[in-house]
Amino acid sequence: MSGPRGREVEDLPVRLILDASAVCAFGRHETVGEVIGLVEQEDIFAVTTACLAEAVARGAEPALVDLLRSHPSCVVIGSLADWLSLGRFMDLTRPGATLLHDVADSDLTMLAVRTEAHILTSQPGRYTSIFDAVSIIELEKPWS
Amino acid sequence: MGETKSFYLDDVVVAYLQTHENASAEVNRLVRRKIFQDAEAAYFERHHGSPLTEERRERAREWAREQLAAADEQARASKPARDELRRRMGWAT
Repeated sequence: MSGPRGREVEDLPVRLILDASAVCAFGRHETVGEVIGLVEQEDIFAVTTACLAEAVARGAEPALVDLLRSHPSCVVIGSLADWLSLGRFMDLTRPGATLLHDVADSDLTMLAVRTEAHILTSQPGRYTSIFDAVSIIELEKPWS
Repeated sequence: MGETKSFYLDDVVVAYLQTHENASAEVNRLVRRKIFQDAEAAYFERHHGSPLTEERRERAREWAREQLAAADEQARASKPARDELRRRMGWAT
Protein backbone atom coordinates (compact mmCIF):
# COMPACT_ATOMS: atom_id res chain seq x y z
CA MET A 1 0.00 0.00 0.00
CA SER A 2 1.16 3.51 -0.48
CA GLY A 3 1.02 5.96 2.40
CA PRO A 4 2.59 9.28 3.20
CA ARG A 5 6.36 9.32 2.88
CA GLY A 6 9.35 11.60 3.26
CA ARG A 7 8.45 15.23 3.82
CA GLU A 8 4.74 14.35 3.70
CA VAL A 9 5.26 12.46 6.97
CA GLU A 10 6.91 15.46 8.64
CA ASP A 11 3.86 17.57 7.86
CA LEU A 12 1.43 15.18 9.56
CA PRO A 13 0.25 16.14 13.09
CA VAL A 14 1.20 12.71 14.45
CA ARG A 15 1.32 12.70 18.24
CA LEU A 16 1.35 8.96 18.86
CA ILE A 17 2.70 5.87 17.12
CA LEU A 18 1.48 2.39 18.08
CA ASP A 19 4.06 -0.37 17.82
CA ALA A 20 3.16 -4.06 17.46
CA SER A 21 2.79 -4.57 21.21
CA ALA A 22 0.35 -1.65 21.42
CA VAL A 23 -1.63 -2.97 18.44
CA CYS A 24 -1.80 -6.38 20.18
CA ALA A 25 -2.93 -4.72 23.43
CA PHE A 26 -5.74 -2.80 21.71
CA GLY A 27 -9.06 -4.37 22.74
CA ARG A 28 -7.38 -6.37 25.49
CA HIS A 29 -6.50 -3.41 27.68
CA GLU A 30 -8.63 -0.30 27.85
CA THR A 31 -5.70 2.12 28.11
CA VAL A 32 -4.87 1.88 24.39
CA GLY A 33 -8.34 3.05 23.31
CA GLU A 34 -8.30 5.85 25.89
CA VAL A 35 -4.89 7.15 24.80
CA ILE A 36 -6.22 7.19 21.23
CA GLY A 37 -9.36 8.97 22.46
CA LEU A 38 -7.28 11.79 23.95
CA VAL A 39 -4.96 12.10 20.96
CA GLU A 40 -7.72 12.14 18.33
CA GLN A 41 -9.23 15.32 19.75
CA GLU A 42 -6.51 17.44 18.11
CA ASP A 43 -3.95 15.16 16.45
CA ILE A 44 -3.63 11.85 14.66
CA PHE A 45 -1.94 8.56 15.51
CA ALA A 46 0.08 6.31 13.23
CA VAL A 47 0.83 2.64 12.72
CA THR A 48 3.33 1.17 10.31
CA THR A 49 2.67 -1.78 8.04
CA ALA A 50 5.56 -3.71 9.64
CA CYS A 51 3.97 -3.27 13.09
CA LEU A 52 0.59 -4.40 11.79
CA ALA A 53 2.19 -7.51 10.31
CA GLU A 54 4.09 -8.26 13.53
CA ALA A 55 0.92 -7.76 15.58
CA VAL A 56 -1.00 -10.24 13.43
CA ALA A 57 1.87 -12.73 13.74
CA ARG A 58 1.73 -12.28 17.53
CA GLY A 59 -1.98 -13.11 17.64
CA ALA A 60 -3.78 -9.80 17.14
CA GLU A 61 -7.26 -10.38 15.71
CA PRO A 62 -7.33 -9.14 12.09
CA ALA A 63 -10.83 -7.66 12.54
CA LEU A 64 -9.57 -5.56 15.44
CA VAL A 65 -6.53 -4.47 13.44
CA ASP A 66 -8.94 -3.42 10.69
CA LEU A 67 -10.98 -1.44 13.21
CA LEU A 68 -7.82 0.38 14.29
CA ARG A 69 -6.76 1.09 10.70
CA SER A 70 -10.18 2.45 9.84
CA HIS A 71 -10.18 4.95 12.70
CA PRO A 72 -10.58 8.43 11.15
CA SER A 73 -7.54 9.70 13.09
CA CYS A 74 -5.28 6.78 12.12
CA VAL A 75 -2.70 7.02 9.38
CA VAL A 76 -1.05 3.83 8.11
CA ILE A 77 2.52 4.39 7.01
CA GLY A 78 4.19 1.97 4.64
CA SER A 79 7.33 0.61 6.29
CA LEU A 80 10.62 1.13 4.50
CA ALA A 81 8.99 3.50 2.02
CA ASP A 82 11.70 6.08 2.68
CA TRP A 83 14.52 3.54 2.50
CA LEU A 84 17.17 6.10 1.65
CA SER A 85 16.54 8.15 4.80
CA LEU A 86 16.28 4.93 6.80
CA GLY A 87 19.69 3.82 5.57
CA ARG A 88 21.18 7.14 6.67
CA PHE A 89 19.36 6.90 10.03
CA MET A 90 20.61 3.34 10.64
CA ASP A 91 24.13 4.44 9.81
CA LEU A 92 23.95 7.35 12.28
CA THR A 93 22.50 5.17 15.07
CA ARG A 94 24.53 2.00 14.47
CA PRO A 95 25.64 0.26 17.71
CA GLY A 96 29.07 -0.65 16.35
CA ALA A 97 31.26 -0.33 13.29
CA THR A 98 29.99 -3.63 11.85
CA LEU A 99 26.60 -3.76 13.57
CA LEU A 100 23.15 -2.43 12.73
CA HIS A 101 19.89 -2.27 14.65
CA ASP A 102 16.75 -4.11 13.50
CA VAL A 103 15.39 -2.52 10.31
CA ALA A 104 11.70 -2.33 11.30
CA ASP A 105 12.48 -1.00 14.79
CA SER A 106 14.80 1.59 13.27
CA ASP A 107 12.05 2.58 10.83
CA LEU A 108 9.61 3.16 13.70
CA THR A 109 12.19 5.08 15.74
CA MET A 110 13.00 7.25 12.72
CA LEU A 111 9.29 7.97 12.25
CA ALA A 112 8.99 9.05 15.90
CA VAL A 113 12.00 11.36 15.64
CA ARG A 114 10.81 12.77 12.33
CA THR A 115 7.28 13.55 13.54
CA GLU A 116 8.14 14.36 17.21
CA ALA A 117 5.60 11.71 18.24
CA HIS A 118 5.53 9.39 21.25
CA ILE A 119 5.78 5.62 20.72
CA LEU A 120 3.17 3.62 22.67
CA THR A 121 4.76 0.26 23.52
CA SER A 122 5.28 -2.40 26.17
CA GLN A 123 8.84 -2.84 24.92
CA PRO A 124 10.57 0.57 25.22
CA GLY A 125 14.05 -0.94 24.95
CA ARG A 126 13.49 -1.85 21.32
CA TYR A 127 13.49 1.86 20.48
CA THR A 128 15.53 3.53 23.24
CA SER A 129 18.41 1.16 22.43
CA ILE A 130 18.43 2.70 18.96
CA PHE A 131 18.13 6.33 20.06
CA ASP A 132 17.73 7.09 23.76
CA ALA A 133 16.04 10.48 23.26
CA VAL A 134 13.07 8.96 21.42
CA SER A 135 9.83 9.67 23.29
CA ILE A 136 8.08 6.62 24.78
CA ILE A 137 4.83 5.91 26.60
CA GLU A 138 5.14 2.52 28.25
CA LEU A 139 2.00 0.41 28.42
CA GLU A 140 1.08 -0.97 31.82
CA LYS A 141 1.13 -4.73 32.27
CA PRO A 142 -0.53 -7.14 32.55
CA TRP A 143 -3.45 -6.72 30.16
CA SER A 144 -4.07 -10.28 29.02
CA MET B 1 -29.72 -3.48 3.27
CA GLY B 2 -28.28 -0.74 5.46
CA GLU B 3 -28.66 -0.42 9.19
CA THR B 4 -30.59 2.54 10.60
CA LYS B 5 -29.42 4.08 13.83
CA SER B 6 -31.41 6.76 15.63
CA PHE B 7 -30.37 8.72 18.65
CA TYR B 8 -31.58 11.51 20.86
CA LEU B 9 -29.57 14.67 21.44
CA ASP B 10 -29.92 16.33 24.80
CA ASP B 11 -30.37 20.12 24.84
CA VAL B 12 -26.86 20.59 26.27
CA VAL B 13 -25.44 18.57 23.37
CA VAL B 14 -27.35 20.69 20.86
CA ALA B 15 -26.03 23.83 22.61
CA TYR B 16 -22.48 22.39 22.45
CA LEU B 17 -22.81 21.62 18.74
CA GLN B 18 -24.07 25.12 18.05
CA THR B 19 -20.67 26.43 19.19
CA HIS B 20 -18.99 24.50 16.34
CA GLU B 21 -18.47 26.02 12.90
CA ASN B 22 -18.94 22.57 11.38
CA ALA B 23 -21.41 20.80 13.61
CA SER B 24 -22.08 17.97 11.14
CA ALA B 25 -18.38 17.06 11.08
CA GLU B 26 -18.34 17.08 14.88
CA VAL B 27 -21.43 14.84 15.01
CA ASN B 28 -19.76 12.52 12.51
CA ARG B 29 -16.60 12.40 14.66
CA LEU B 30 -18.57 11.66 17.83
CA VAL B 31 -20.67 8.94 16.19
CA ARG B 32 -17.59 7.26 14.72
CA ARG B 33 -15.89 7.49 18.10
CA LYS B 34 -18.90 5.74 19.67
CA ILE B 35 -18.88 2.97 17.05
CA PHE B 36 -15.13 2.52 17.65
CA GLN B 37 -15.59 2.35 21.43
CA ASP B 38 -18.50 -0.12 21.14
CA ALA B 39 -16.45 -2.46 18.92
CA GLU B 40 -13.49 -2.21 21.30
CA ALA B 41 -15.77 -2.96 24.28
CA ALA B 42 -17.33 -5.97 22.51
CA TYR B 43 -13.87 -7.45 21.85
CA PHE B 44 -12.79 -6.71 25.43
CA GLU B 45 -15.82 -8.61 26.78
CA ARG B 46 -15.20 -11.57 24.45
CA HIS B 47 -11.54 -11.67 25.47
CA HIS B 48 -11.95 -11.22 29.26
CA GLY B 49 -15.46 -12.57 29.80
CA SER B 50 -16.43 -9.39 31.65
CA PRO B 51 -17.65 -6.03 30.31
CA LEU B 52 -15.51 -2.95 29.84
CA THR B 53 -17.15 -0.73 32.42
CA GLU B 54 -17.26 3.06 32.43
CA GLU B 55 -15.31 2.96 35.69
CA ARG B 56 -12.46 1.06 34.00
CA ARG B 57 -12.57 3.48 31.08
CA GLU B 58 -12.38 6.47 33.42
CA ARG B 59 -9.37 4.99 35.24
CA ALA B 60 -7.70 4.29 31.90
CA ARG B 61 -8.49 7.84 30.70
CA GLU B 62 -6.86 9.28 33.81
CA TRP B 63 -3.81 7.06 33.27
CA ALA B 64 -3.66 8.14 29.62
CA ARG B 65 -3.83 11.86 30.57
CA GLU B 66 -0.98 11.44 33.05
CA GLN B 67 1.16 9.45 30.62
CA LEU B 68 0.66 11.90 27.75
CA ALA B 69 1.48 14.88 29.99
CA ALA B 70 4.61 13.15 31.33
CA ALA B 71 5.70 12.14 27.83
CA ASP B 72 5.20 15.70 26.56
CA GLU B 73 7.32 17.01 29.44
CA GLN B 74 10.09 14.46 28.85
CA ALA B 75 9.98 15.13 25.12
CA ARG B 76 10.54 18.85 25.76
CA ALA B 77 13.56 18.03 27.94
CA SER B 78 15.13 15.70 25.37
CA LYS B 79 14.33 17.86 22.32
CA PRO B 80 17.93 19.14 21.89
CA ALA B 81 19.18 15.57 21.34
CA ARG B 82 16.46 14.88 18.77
CA ASP B 83 17.09 18.20 17.08
CA GLU B 84 20.76 17.31 16.70
CA LEU B 85 19.85 13.99 15.05
CA ARG B 86 17.28 15.74 12.88
CA ARG B 87 19.93 18.25 11.82
CA ARG B 88 22.33 15.43 10.91
CA MET B 89 19.52 13.79 8.93
CA GLY B 90 18.98 17.04 7.05
CA TRP B 91 15.47 17.56 8.39
CA ALA B 92 14.15 20.92 9.53
CA THR B 93 14.50 21.54 13.29
